[in-house]
Amino acid sequence: MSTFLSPKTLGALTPLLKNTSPQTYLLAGGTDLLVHLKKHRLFDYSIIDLSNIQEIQEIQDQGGSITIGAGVTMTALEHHPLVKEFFPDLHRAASMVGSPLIRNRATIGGNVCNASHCADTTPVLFCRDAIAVLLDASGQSLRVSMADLVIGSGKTILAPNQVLTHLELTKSTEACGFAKLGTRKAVTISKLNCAARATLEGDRLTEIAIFLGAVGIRPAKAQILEKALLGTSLDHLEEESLIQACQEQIEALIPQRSSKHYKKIALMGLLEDVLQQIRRPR
Amino acid sequence: MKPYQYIGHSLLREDTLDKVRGKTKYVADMQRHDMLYAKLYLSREAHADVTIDATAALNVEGMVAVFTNKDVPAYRYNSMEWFPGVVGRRDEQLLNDRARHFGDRLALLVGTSKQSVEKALSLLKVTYHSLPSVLSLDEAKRDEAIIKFDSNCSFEKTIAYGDYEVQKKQADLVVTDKGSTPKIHHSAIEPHVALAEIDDQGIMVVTTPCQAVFQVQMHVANILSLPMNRVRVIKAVMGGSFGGKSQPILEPIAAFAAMKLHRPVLLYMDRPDAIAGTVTRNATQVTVETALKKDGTILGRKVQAEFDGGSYDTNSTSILFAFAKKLFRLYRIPAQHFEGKSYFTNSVPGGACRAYGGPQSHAITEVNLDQAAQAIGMDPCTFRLKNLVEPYDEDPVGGPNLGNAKIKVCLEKGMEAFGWAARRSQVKAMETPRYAYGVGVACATHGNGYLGAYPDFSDVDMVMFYDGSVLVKVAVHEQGCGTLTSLQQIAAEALDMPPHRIRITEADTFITPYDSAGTQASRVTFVSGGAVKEAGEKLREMLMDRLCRLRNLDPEEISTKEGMLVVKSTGETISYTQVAAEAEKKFSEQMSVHIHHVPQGNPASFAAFFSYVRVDKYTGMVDLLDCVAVHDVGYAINPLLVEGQIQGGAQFSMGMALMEEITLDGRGRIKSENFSKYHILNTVDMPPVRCFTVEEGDACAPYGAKSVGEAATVAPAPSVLNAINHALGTRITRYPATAEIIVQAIQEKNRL
Repeated sequence: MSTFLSPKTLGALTPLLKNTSPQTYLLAGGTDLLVHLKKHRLFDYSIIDLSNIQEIQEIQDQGGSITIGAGVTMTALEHHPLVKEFFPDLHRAASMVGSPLIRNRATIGGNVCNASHCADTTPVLFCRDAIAVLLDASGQSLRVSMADLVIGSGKTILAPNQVLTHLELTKSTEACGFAKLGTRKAVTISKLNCAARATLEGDRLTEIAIFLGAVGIRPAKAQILEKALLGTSLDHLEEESLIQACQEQIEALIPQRSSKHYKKIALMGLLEDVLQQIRRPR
Repeated sequence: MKPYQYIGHSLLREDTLDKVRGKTKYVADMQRHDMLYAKLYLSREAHADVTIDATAALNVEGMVAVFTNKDVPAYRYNSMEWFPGVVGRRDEQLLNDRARHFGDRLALLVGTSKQSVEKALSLLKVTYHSLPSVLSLDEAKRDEAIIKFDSNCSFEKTIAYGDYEVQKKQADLVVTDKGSTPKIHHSAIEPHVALAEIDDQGIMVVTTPCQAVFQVQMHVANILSLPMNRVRVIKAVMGGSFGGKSQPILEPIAAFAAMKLHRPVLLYMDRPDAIAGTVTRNATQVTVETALKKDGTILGRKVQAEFDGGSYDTNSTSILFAFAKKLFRLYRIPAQHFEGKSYFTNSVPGGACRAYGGPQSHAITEVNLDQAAQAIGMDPCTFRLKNLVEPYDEDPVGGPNLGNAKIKVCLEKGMEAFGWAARRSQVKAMETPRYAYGVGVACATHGNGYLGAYPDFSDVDMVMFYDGSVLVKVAVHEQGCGTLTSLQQIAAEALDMPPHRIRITEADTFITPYDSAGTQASRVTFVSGGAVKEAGEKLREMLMDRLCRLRNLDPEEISTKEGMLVVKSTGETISYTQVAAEAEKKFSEQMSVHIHHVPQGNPASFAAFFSYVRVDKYTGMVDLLDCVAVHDVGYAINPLLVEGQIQGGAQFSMGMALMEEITLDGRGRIKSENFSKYHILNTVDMPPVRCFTVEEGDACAPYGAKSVGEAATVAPAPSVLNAINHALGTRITRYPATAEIIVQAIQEKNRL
């Protein structure tokens, strides 16, 4: 039987999670779910609507960290002062998801749990070592790393009776950046995206972490690029060697994909954009 | 001559407010008592015989019928035919038992609600028995798998004048380019839809956003064996067409279901249906060879074009002629040789798509001209100016005279507005390791109707009621261009009365007089506008004549002013209303005229388009920085609507330049089935397009006005490719020049 349930608190949600079936869907913004239902011509299903649960729609300052509710929309994320201050990369990624209409509905939790290989906020969360807080039907909560949560394209470890409630990000004043590439400037799905954070001494990169999206089943750590950049000076980048590193990086990640030829070149453009953001004083 | 009072002004369209407020009712919003909803099941395979089991689908609550090939008339037709004088190869049927392309029509599901129909669609059991498929022009040419008849080649034709080979021998050099254009989806925001019902007199009434009611009427009548006087087709409000709704697709199917079930049937599509199950702009492969002198004189040109007609014949003959025609009407070239071949492939059939053949025809030739200019070290604008046509040139293959052809003025005006000379010489110096800058130009021509090829006429009934309001019955189809507003302004000018008292009908086979070809072929402002002008002038004369007879005046003693008749000597004014009422009383007649209007020519419209681009050499992304469009429109009846056409045409054409393309996977399934994958330029991608017009009139055009809506969607694409090639030093001739294509071209150039 099809049902549509819309709990107002996490407390009211947990008992509902006990009786889910394979045809039960959790609805956050619906921007992926509705497309999925229509594309696969699904008619008999039940919905648990999460959009009325206030507890998962807040962004809270916890001192050393910030918690972001899974139900926070891309629009809210884009405009929140804490996000702008501490996570400009996340702010930027959220601002580049879909269209304004999509961003008004789409949530960060949905972006993570849909686990598309070309999701825009996920590489940032990977890059920032975000912690995902899960809740199950018994009311137990569980903290896992992004890499433990997102295990493949469209795949997470979430059990049918589990739900993502929050993401925790450690505050930092590191330099960071995000860039994406689609087939047009906006309202476009990433063909390639890139999130990075770095520590600078003067213009020298003393620490750097880079994750790439849409080059495999989930965001991938770009170790070759990191190695090429670590210790280098942003004002004296060696373009030729970076171009070389981009090529090696893509080859290492998607050796079998025909799209690799383009991405090998295009990555340099994204990297330039990201490094430009990193260079910009906070 | 007195200045025009009602034309030449940007009158606001009457439907504007309702449209922006979402109040407008489209066919998909319509409801009728006892109405059923219907949707097509479209093939998920490119080439296969099918067996269909509808048991489970029919079991869905609310389902009324599932029709397949076994249920429909055996009658075969060619939906491109618009009157019995054109006969194509008739290879279409309402529903098929063999899928010839991904998206081919296999079944019609009818139920009491959309929910029932959608659910039944998911339960329809279709078994595919695959056949070898032909997925590209190259595969079609091999004739290994043959789709139908005895060859995949459906039509071929050579059109030539002069002796190209002789000219070639005298040339200093020959510049050859080979390129391709993609299948393009029209992207009308309203997907195809039709409502069919039988009225209380037993008439089959089809309400549809179409471009030619009489064409729909003919096909419905033929397919369902009904006399034409029992088929009424009404043009409904349309959410865009761009040629996609020009040939009947859904209308005969909806009518068939309504007749079978004796209930109104609303047949609707969604976006994937509209992309896969209607028609597309024909893909082409084109080779252009231009023979020229070092001084920039073009001596001859040879063009070989292959057309992907898709799986049904539809327009594979006419697209070839439409393509060829444009080659002969833009440059003065002593000899040209055109060879065209159309092929069947297992893909969506070809159909009209804004500027019919023009975009493909200019796509490669205009890039080739830039390459030729470069080969002789000449500026591409200077090179074009040396070879462009002059006013009143003849068509070298016997087509209509070109009329007051002002393309050179367009090009010169554009060069100045764009700052061509300075930009062309300076932009290359702005290059950085990442970004390259370039500017490009292209010219284009388009026609004004069918004269010279097919019958072209438009009939008008113009009636003045005794309250002085005017109804103009004319079979036009508002497609969103503002056709009704332009005609209203023309009628106002001809009648010398305010436009708000004039109403223009849309086409209805039971109300509006006959029109030979529908709202297509850039013929409406020119042909129907000419008809409305003629009718208005005649009706005004009639009013003047009746006043003279009523008051015993001589014709030269009176004039008209804003809906009033004026007695010159006394200054006395008498309203049209009063004359109409008095005339009815005194002479037992209504103030009305019938006009049969045949245009006195088919002049050419022209455009020059300039693009300034920045190319990201890493990502292959192109920023359109500035564009200038200059159009020879003869006279702009409504300047705002003209600019709307130019802006929209640029958006359409630059989509073809950079991203629009229906792509197939290895099994012929469409990959870009929705707008999430089929990308068109959106607001942030669109550059400012600065629009200019050249308005020097044309003697055979109403108030001098020529077409613009189709002409506007031709030159932008090649101008963008020329700009990209200028920026990069590449020779890209493949549309769309996607980021991947651009990056590949840069790498190939670097390897040389």
